[in-house]
Amino acid sequence: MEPWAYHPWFGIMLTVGIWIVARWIRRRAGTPLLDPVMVSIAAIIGVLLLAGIPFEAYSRGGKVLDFLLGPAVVALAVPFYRQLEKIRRNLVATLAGVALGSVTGVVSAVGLALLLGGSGQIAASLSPKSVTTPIAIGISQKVGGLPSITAAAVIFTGILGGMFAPQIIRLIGIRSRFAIGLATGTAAHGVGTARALREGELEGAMSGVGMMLNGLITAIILPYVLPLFL
Amino acid sequence: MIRKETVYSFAMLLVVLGAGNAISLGLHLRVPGNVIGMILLAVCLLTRLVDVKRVEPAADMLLSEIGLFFVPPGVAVMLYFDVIARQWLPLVVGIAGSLLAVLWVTALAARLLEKKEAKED
Repeated sequence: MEPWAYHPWFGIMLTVGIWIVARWIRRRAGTPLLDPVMVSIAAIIGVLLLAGIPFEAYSRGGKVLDFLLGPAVVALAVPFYRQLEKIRRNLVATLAGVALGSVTGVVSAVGLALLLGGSGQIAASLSPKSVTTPIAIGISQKVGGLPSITAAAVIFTGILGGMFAPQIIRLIGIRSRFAIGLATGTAAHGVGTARALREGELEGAMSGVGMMLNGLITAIILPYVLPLFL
Repeated sequence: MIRKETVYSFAMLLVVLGAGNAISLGLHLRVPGNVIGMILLAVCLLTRLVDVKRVEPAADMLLSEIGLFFVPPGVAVMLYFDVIARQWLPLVVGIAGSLLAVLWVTALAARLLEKKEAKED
C-alpha cells in the first residue's frame, strides 16, 4: 500500500482541493444537482476506488477536518442570535413545526422500511436518519439499530436534503424563508443547514434551530415511539 | 489574511466546544458536545456574557465553508456499500420518502403558524 496516502496531508489536500473545484463548479453551473458536498464526496470516493487507497488512509486527514466541524456547529449560535427577534415572535411555529417533523420523520422512515420488506433492525436503524450523526448513532444503539446503517442513512439524508430541500418545499407553494430554513434543518441536519446558509442568513439560522431541536426531540421520543411499530 | 480577532474568536469557539464536550461526557448525555456547545454559546450571547462581535470573525469564516467539514464523514459511506446493496429498496425509499414527508409537514406547520410579516416574500 502507498505509505504516502497514510499521511494526514493526503486526506486534507485531496478534500480541500476537490472542495475548491466543486465550489467553482457550482458557481458556474447553477443546478442543485451539483451540490458541492455531494460532488466532493462522489469525486473523493471515485479517486480512492480508482487508486486503490483504503478509506482508513484517507480518514487520517479526514479526521483533521472533522475536528473543525465541532467549532462550526458551535458557531451556528451566531446566526441564531442575529435572527433572535424572528424566532422569538414565531416560537410556537418553531416548536410545533419541529415536533411534528420529528414524529413524521420517525413514523415515515420506519413505516416505509417495513412496508418494503426491510427487517425490524433496518427500520430501527433508519428511524433517527434526520438527526445529526453523533445523536443519531447514540439513538440507534439505544433502540436496537445498526450504527453503521444509521451512519449511512444519515449521510444519504443529508446529501439528498442538501441538494433538493428548498426546491421540494417550494413545490407545494411555500415561499416563506422562515419555513424553508426550519424544515431543511429538521429534515436534513447539518448538511441541510450548509445548504440553507447558502440560501440566506434567516434560512441558515432557522435550519440550525431545526437541527438542534430535532436532535433533542427525537432523542427523547424515539425510545417510546419505535416500540409501537416493532 | 488572518487577523488577531479571528484567532481570538476561534479560541473562544474552541473553549465553548470544550465545555460542551465536558457536559456531554460528564452527564452521560446522548446529545453531542458540539450541539451542547451551540446552546451554551447562544445562552452566553443572550445573557450578554459574550459580545457577538467577539465570536463573529471565526464563526462567519467557519460557517461560510461548513459544507467542507461534512465531506469526510460523507466519504465514509463507501464503507457501507455492501449493506446498502443488500437492503437498497427499503433504505432508499425509506430515506427519500421520509425526507419528503418531514420537509412538507415541518414547512406547512411553520408556514401556517408563522406570524405574517408586513412585507415578506
